[in-house]
Amino acid sequence: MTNDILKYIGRIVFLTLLQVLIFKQLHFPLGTFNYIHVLIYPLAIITLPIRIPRNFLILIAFVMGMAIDLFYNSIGVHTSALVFTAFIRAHVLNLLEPRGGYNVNASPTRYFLGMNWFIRYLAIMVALHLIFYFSMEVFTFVYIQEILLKTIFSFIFSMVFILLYQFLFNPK
Amino acid sequence: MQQFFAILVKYSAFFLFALLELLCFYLIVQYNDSQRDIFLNSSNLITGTLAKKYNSAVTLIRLPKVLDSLQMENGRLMAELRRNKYSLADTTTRVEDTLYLQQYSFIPARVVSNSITLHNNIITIDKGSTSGIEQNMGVIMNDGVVGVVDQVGKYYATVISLLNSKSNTSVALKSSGYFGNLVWNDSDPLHMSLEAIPKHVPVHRGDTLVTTGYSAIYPSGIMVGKVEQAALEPGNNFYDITVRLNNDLANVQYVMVVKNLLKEDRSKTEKEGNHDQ
Repeated sequence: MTNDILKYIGRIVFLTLLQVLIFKQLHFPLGTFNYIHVLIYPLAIITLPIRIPRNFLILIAFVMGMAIDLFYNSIGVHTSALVFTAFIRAHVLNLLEPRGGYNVNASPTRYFLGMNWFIRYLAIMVALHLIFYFSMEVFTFVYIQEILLKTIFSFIFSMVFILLYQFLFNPK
Repeated sequence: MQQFFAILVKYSAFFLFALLELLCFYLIVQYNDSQRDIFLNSSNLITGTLAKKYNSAVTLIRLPKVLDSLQMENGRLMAELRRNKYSLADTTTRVEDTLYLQQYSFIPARVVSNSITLHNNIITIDKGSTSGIEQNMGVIMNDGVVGVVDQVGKYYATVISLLNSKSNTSVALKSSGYFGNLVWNDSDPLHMSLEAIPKHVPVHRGDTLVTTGYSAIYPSGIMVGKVEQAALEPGNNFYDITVRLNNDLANVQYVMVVKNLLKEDRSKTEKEGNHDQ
């Protein structure tokens, strides 16, 4: 049990560091557009065990978001997106619930629920996170087109890197 | 109450989420320049438009008050004009350091009733004896002469309009200084007749007529109108002059009542002169 908790904390810290030390520095210039941001840190919140209390999950997201925002110098922007992701996770899980329900001890990962299910779940969560994040970043819906473009491009790249991470570590 | 708490517990995740999001919004607006600018701009846009709408609505309501205050200001400024003061410079060598004594002051008033079509037209103004208005005071407006105060009540006064058979105003040709009487002969509210200008005086169309100040009712030099037509009937010693008034008495709303502060002294002096004869 303690082992598990340490494992999750370690994953949160690791993904945070991975995000701010490596993926923050990545730039994919696409002409004059700067549409591509690779965000893999939501994976930490997305793959926490299903049985974790929802309020607790939201609080974890808040703390983790603040940590990332400190590195990004954008207090509140990543936090609000990650809190939103944590909040919406239960609804998405309900939506994708398999016929027999979830195993009590399962986490929403490839390891427990299979590749097909996991990709669907991941895609929904990452897309929601990104669209919320870019809305917060631009902070006005005047630039809805820009928000959508950024979301689409960043979605593709973030998915690629997150899946790569999954294959490398295959976390439970 | 119990139900309330039940709802609170049931949707605690949502409330926590909303609370944290609000906190994030606050942090974003507080600590991120671009988002703060956007936030302030859009809120300014809303509040600014509202304030503007409100202002334009209120301005309309305040307009009469503004006009009144402008009218007061005009009265004060007119009193400051040098031609409305009695020069002490050439009669007194030194009266402390005051070279000019106030001769005319002006009481602003609003026209509450007016007529132009009658034989004897009367204007009613909304100032009376409480405002210091007395009989035989002159009434002017910003671009011409209106008439003379007739009856004075406590809060209202009637003015014998220029367009009245009783009105008889002394005006002078500005160019030559010859003076005559301006009378109304029922024609139309824009035209009057000028009488008693002798035939040796050169009168041209367009000559300006101003008040003389002889009657002590109006300050001298107020523009009254212009000569529109000057005819000399054969065998007549005086011109037959039609004058076009400078102001339109059909449309008079704000007037100034002229108070001659030296009137008493003048009439007393003139009365004594009459006794001597």
